[in-house]
Amino acid sequence: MGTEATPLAEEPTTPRPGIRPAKVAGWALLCAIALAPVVARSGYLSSMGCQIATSAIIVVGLGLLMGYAGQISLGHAAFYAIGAYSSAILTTKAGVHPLLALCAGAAASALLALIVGTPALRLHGHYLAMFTLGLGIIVQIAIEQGKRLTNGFDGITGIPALDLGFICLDSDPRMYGATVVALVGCVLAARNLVDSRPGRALRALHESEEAASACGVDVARAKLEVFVLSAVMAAVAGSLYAHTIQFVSPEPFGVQFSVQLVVMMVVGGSTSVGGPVAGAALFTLVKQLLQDAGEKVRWVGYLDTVLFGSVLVLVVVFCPKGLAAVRLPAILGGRTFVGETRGDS
Amino acid sequence: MSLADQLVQYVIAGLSGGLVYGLVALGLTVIYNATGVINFAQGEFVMLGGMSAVALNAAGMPLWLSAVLAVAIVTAVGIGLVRLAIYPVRDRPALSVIIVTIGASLVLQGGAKLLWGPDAVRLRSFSGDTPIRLGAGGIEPQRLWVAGLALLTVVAVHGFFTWTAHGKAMRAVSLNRAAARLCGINADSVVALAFGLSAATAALAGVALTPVEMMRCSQGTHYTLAGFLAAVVGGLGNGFGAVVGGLVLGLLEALSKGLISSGYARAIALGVALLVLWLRPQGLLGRRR
Amino acid sequence: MTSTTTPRPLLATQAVTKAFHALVAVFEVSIEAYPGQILGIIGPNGAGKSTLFNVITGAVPLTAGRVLLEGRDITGLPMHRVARLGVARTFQNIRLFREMSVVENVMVGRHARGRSGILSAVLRLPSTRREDSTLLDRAMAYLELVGLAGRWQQPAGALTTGQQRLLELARALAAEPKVLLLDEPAAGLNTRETETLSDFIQCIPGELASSVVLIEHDMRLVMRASHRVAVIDRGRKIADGPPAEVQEDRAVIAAYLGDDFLARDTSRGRRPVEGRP
Repeated sequence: MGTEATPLAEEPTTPRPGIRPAKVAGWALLCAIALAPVVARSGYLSSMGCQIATSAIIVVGLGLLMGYAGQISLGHAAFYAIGAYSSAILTTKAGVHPLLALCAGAAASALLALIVGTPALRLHGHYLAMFTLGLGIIVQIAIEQGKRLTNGFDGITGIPALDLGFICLDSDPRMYGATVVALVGCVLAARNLVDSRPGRALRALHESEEAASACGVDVARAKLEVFVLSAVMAAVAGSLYAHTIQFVSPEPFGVQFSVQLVVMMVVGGSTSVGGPVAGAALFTLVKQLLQDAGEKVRWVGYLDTVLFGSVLVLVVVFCPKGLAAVRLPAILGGRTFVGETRGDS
Repeated sequence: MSLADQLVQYVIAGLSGGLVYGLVALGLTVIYNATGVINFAQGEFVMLGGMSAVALNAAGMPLWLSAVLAVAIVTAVGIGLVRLAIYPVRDRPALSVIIVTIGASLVLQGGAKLLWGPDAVRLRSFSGDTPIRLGAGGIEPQRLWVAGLALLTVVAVHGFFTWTAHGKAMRAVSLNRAAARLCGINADSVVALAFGLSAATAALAGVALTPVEMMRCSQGTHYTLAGFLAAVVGGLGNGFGAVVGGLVLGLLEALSKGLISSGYARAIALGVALLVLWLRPQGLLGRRR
Repeated sequence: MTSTTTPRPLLATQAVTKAFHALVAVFEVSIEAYPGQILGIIGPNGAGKSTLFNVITGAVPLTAGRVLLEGRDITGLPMHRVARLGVARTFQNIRLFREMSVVENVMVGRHARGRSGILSAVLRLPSTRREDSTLLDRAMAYLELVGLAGRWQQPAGALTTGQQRLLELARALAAEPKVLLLDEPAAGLNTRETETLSDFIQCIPGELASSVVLIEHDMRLVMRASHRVAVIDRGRKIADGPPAEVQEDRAVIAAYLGDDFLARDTSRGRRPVEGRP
């Protein structure tokens, strides 16, 4: 062991995993699925795809929060609602440009996350879950009761299409395309974060808060930052949703949706980037399936909550890293995220 | 009706509602002390108690029997929850246990929806609906039942922890889990006992409450949150504080319902509770750590 | 070290007291760590040595007294602030980030020296990329130093105990601290590893960190490496001085190092402390 501070001899390079054909096939399959609604110009597929992609955006943020800060939020529907309602109110009532409205929603969401997260993350334990649950309920009540701004249960209609200048996203397939682009952006952002100074700090504090602080990591602040980031992602998803449906009402923003987002995240797993997407896709498809079946047989429509609850418990007990971490047969490329092709679990 | 009479009514409604929150908070505290984890399914026990009492009563059972059976059923559900879902993850990080309790709350909520549908139901009052005259206004007798039963339960729980061997063992576990294990206390059975006990108290609250407040399968979340806020406002881990916190929360809700706006009442109560925690994270009665 | 005027201590505790309810773990302990020196702290198990470290780094709030770093009062600052001011430590029971790679552990150790925030990290700005690549180089240099460069990609949890101790050392050194607190770095090491470690530690002051405070049970290591030794027993400091003096202090030896140590040492003809620069 040398004791002089010799300059390093070995030249470290970032590890680059070899390109495996199976993995490429997995990605190609995914791209094909992702592109299908656009190619087919199908309204039904597109709106389905939009639902999946918007949920996936929120779940990516939740995955960062849970996977790295070790905290869960039971109120992300509130940030989603703030994005959606900011877009809806500002564009219909104040004539603000949709992109500006989107930014305003994201900013409002970030601010709220700061206010809620600062006390909750300073405390040890899982206060954030309860604080966000409270926030979710309060935001929901505010939307229902603040009729002058939100029209209460009647909702806000006539939200304009998202006009980007060079293209107006005035159809479902177009909007779907934009949402997927946003999702890819969020996924890339998450990947960048994980392999960066603040990302390493988050992973470190997840293992030992004491050791991380001893290294100079401001634990509460690091958690707060990732919470705010996830809130911003949810708000962006909300704005995109508002411009897709062009109508908002309180219903989809309840606490139930917050819990469903947690189910998506846990089922998909936060260990890989594809986990959230797989979780969102699987969840949304199954939910839609049950809903359709429920129109014929009533009790089947009521199955969803029980099913999601039991899946949540089973996944945590038997497969804590999420279904995306399950090793699939080699033909599917080992650890890829083709979880959604496995169908119901 | 004069403002003073109205105030009296709000306070009584607030105290009885607050005792229910306090009971839920007490249950949460018992589980927290035994396991170090917040049970997100706690409010579902309240809902389940109310809903199953209604179902049993509708099936032709006398009111008292359906109430007793409902409490028994929910207690069994609470213990079953431990055996099936909590035991397998007891050695995992707290986050896993919390997610399991969230999953359990979905299962219970969904199960209730599957069995009894999503609509609100109501139980017959224990002793009629003729209001007891009080000044210019009146008070529903069922509110007295709620308050009385809740008080009785609090006293019983206190007695359990003070005088019985099981209660003492549970207190020992909450003080120092490792040391308690060394003394030969079976931590697993303590956890099961904690869940059973808090399921029973929550169910009792649910049964008593269902005649005054409608009960529906999605109602549990509200009680979980209210119970948690009550518990932390009182200082998490402190049983007496939990009950006090519940009373504070109940009064807040009833007063803002009467004096400010019925639509916002819950939001105001929750908001104030969150504000208290923001300013005083250790709770009103808790010691600064 | 040889200057005629007494240099100002880099790190000093002034009558630090820490009580857990009725139990007083540390009582009015004052220690001083000087630049370019190693201060050894010895004492029986449960004497309050690790608690002293925890108080200095802000891991636990102290009951009374002050902690000074370069004359500045750092009492009661949160851990990460103390770390950023230049106090790094290792842990008695190793606390590595086990699921992260060896080099990433060292990179986190250098966290305080980085700047890139969450926004630039998410966008992967050029400045962030530059910072990260120099960070990687520096981290590798520290791994080289402790001889773990070959294992840079392995998860830290896969290392042997000895290697883990070295990695913790590298992680702490990577912060380029002013004061390095080592909590029983030789625990779990064999004689040869301890020997190498001892050589290494003696080269730290002035080179890799200005000053070292060393808690250690291995008496030979402490006596050999330290410039000064403080003895703590039952929360109180009972002796403080050059190793030779402390070693000669028969009362201390008899009471805290055990009578057999005394007998063995005198039988060897009272050899003075060896291996000091």
